[in-house]
Amino acid sequence: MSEWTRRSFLMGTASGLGLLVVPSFLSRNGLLFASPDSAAGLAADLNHTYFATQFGIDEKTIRRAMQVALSRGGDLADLYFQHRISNYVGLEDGDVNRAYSSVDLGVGIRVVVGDQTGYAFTEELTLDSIVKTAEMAASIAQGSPSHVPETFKIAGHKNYYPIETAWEEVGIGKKIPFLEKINANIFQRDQRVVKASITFSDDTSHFLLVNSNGLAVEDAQPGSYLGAYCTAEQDGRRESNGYSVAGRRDIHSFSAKVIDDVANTAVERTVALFEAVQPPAGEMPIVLAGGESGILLHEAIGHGMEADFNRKAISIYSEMIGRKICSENITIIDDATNLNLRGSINVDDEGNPGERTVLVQDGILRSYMHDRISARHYGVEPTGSGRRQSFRHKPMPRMRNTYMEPGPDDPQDIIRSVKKGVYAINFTNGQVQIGAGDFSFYVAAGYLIEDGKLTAPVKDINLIGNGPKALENVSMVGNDLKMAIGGWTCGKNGQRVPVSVGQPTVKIDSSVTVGGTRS
Amino acid sequence: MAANENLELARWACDQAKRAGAQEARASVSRTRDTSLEYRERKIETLQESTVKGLSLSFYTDGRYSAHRTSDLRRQALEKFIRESVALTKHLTEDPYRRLPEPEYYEGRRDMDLQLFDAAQKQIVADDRHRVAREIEDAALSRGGDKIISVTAGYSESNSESAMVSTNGFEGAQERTNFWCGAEVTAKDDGDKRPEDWWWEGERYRGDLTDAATIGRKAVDRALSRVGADKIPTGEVPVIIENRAAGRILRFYGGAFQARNLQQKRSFLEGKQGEQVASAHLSVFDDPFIVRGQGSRLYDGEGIAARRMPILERGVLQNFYIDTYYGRKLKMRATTGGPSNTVFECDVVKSVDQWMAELGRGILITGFLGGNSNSSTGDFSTGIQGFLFENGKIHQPIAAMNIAGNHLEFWHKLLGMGDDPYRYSSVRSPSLVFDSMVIAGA
Repeated sequence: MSEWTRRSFLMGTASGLGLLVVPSFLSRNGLLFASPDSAAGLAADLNHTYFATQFGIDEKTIRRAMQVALSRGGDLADLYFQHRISNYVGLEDGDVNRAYSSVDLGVGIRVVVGDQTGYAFTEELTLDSIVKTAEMAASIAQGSPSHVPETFKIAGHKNYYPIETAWEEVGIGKKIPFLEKINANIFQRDQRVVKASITFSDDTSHFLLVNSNGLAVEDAQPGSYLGAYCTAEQDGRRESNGYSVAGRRDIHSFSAKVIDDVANTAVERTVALFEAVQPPAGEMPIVLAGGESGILLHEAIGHGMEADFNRKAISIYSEMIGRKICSENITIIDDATNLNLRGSINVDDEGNPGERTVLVQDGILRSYMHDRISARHYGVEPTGSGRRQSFRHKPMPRMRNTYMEPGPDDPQDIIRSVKKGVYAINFTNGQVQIGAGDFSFYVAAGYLIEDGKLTAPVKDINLIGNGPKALENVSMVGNDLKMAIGGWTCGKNGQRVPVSVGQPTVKIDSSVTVGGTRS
Repeated sequence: MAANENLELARWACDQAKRAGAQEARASVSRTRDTSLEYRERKIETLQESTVKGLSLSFYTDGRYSAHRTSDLRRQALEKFIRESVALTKHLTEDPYRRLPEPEYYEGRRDMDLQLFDAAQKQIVADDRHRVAREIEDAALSRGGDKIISVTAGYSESNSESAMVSTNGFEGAQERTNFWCGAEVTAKDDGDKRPEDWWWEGERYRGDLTDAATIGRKAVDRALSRVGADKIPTGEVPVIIENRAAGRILRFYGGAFQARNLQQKRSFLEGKQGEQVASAHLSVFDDPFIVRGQGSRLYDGEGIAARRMPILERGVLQNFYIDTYYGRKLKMRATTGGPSNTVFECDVVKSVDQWMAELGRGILITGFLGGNSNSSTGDFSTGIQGFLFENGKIHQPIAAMNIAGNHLEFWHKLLGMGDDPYRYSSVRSPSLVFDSMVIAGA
């Protein structure tokens, strides 16, 4: 256990970074407010689910496990069965010379009494092992048995990640050409490139959630990631940078255009760094380019709005609901329903439908993100934010896709309004302190703004500020919302989940510190 | 499962791999049992128990390499998994550098008891675990009184066994225990701010843990010391990085010592072996043999026999972390793929109080926030919190400030170290003292 496991942070997967250019498979309009179909193939009952047919987890087994989980009472018990298949293939030094795969299978059992949680899991899906696991989870409760539901009803849900071909049906032979094509393009595009690593990964997580309210839900969450990272040399100087596209998509989304974008953007971002300088240190106005700069929202307000931190009164936002905290041009959403985005979920890992949660509306703080425990604590409905890394982890309130809605300003006007500041485009990671509200995020590339114009490129600078203070200082909001499609992963209390972020161009008046080396 | 059973399963998996057509294979079997609990408001907040097990396999056939992991250890399921995984490997490109380590790397493994396994763990019962967390919470609540908002006290314990077998002659098995306990505390402050801090300690032997009440009080004192923190104007001052925080900046530095980054031309230290890359006050060793150490081991993930290795000696770069694959590509002898324990030596050692007295005015960094480091160029930039000291004494808490630099300059500024190597991490860094740095603030 290191300090890392206790904090909250966001980072780009591996060396890959987020989005700037929107590849062709994302039409801007289709991105945010699609009206998806219901997921097909709803199982008739617990004897016909994926886990029943594949692993023999039938209604009898589930009923027995539930009975044991509730044997000492409890307000809620749930079983989360998961089967996850992950694949990775990598190219380096021109060769596709590494492939990894992993299979995870198991069940996590939770018993909740008020705010208290008992949690246990097993990787052996035998009745004996499942019963022992249920006994361990039940040890949190001290009372007489709670009622086991007569029937478990399988609930349907919408589908925010329709795909044509499941990853389980795609062999490695279909993925290798992507890597080879990108590698060839990268070296062809710029003579200064000396090294390139390209990775492709995909995974499919099947889960079945059954709880003591008689609810049963199953889903299959697909994920894919394609990233290129390269190093270039010029006059003895070396720079590295990369680009990735990730989301809940299938193999058909990796069109020739997307493959080209990955190669070109990775090279462009790398060679641009040869011109870059470090900016002076200190507070100055910051303009955040549309897209992955939504990392600001993730760190400055997102984590602080997760209800578990507020239930414990340890978030800086603990007593701010209903308060006006920033300009009325600002509306901030955490959304599970964006088509094919990396943080989208049809249902959360507690069986609640994925939804669009308004955190800030017209400058006023509206709602936390809830799991079942915090929703019960506050007497509100869950927001579909109960997520977990795997069956080995208990759920807690987490972000999905966090973004700011478009505002009134022209992005060019925003840049023109700054006399001396920094324009940040491309980010690698960030972190926040929930209680103090201090956050930081790392800028891999951007520009200096001088007299309203973008001048010298800048790189490798950390921005640091205070969440509520930074939002209060957002003075302009662009009309150009973009969502990041890179491989963003959020960490909290040692659990990692895929997310996305998005933002229009935004100006923060002098209040954020730029961490340069010149005083 | 006993060590023998793990070894047997690993041997069996290697045989299956050969039968399925792999030329060489390595198999690791592991099993970890975890118990953890948290207390808040004098009630259990969470109680967790689990056993994680898994089999990891690497296959090598004509330079084609792939690796796989599964937690489904039923023999029949494994047979199928191995067959399919070996078949997948055939799609890859031949890479002449991909093979198992030459068996000479396995030789010379030390036969010593690193004391990583506390046999007394078997006698610990649930009540003992709860008592530790409750004592931490009680001590924290009585120390903090109405100045604090929340205390979460925790205890966790793990016991892991693993075994590794390679088809070219490596076999090894080990058992480890770990005990951690501590607390996170949130304090009241002006306005909406709720500064937080923590104190956790971890040991291989339960009996080595500090008394619970002391841990609870430390966590509270840390949180209360953060009250009123603010940024101060940008300036250039001497800096002390506290032992507990130093691991973060060392991990930033560490990327440049990795063979993959050297070979991929992403290390600012490439070609600098034998050169003065840091202050002559800085010596760093990789030491796998620390008794009861968090990073101690007798062999690494490939089976390379562990050795104590100088990384920097009086600021001169001695060695990199090199596994056999990138070693072959770089035409360098493999050392080990990654750090075990990182230990420090210095000719100028004083207590942190003595350093503050000597420097007069400066910043004591007690934590980092976010930030990153570019291993190609050595540039880094990261958020900091800590204290401004003046006239040799703590003057005020500071937060939301930033330190930036380049590793090729930064480590030359090291003036000396504290007398306080941090024992709760594999990076056993003492506090580190640097000549003036730009600290960005208001």
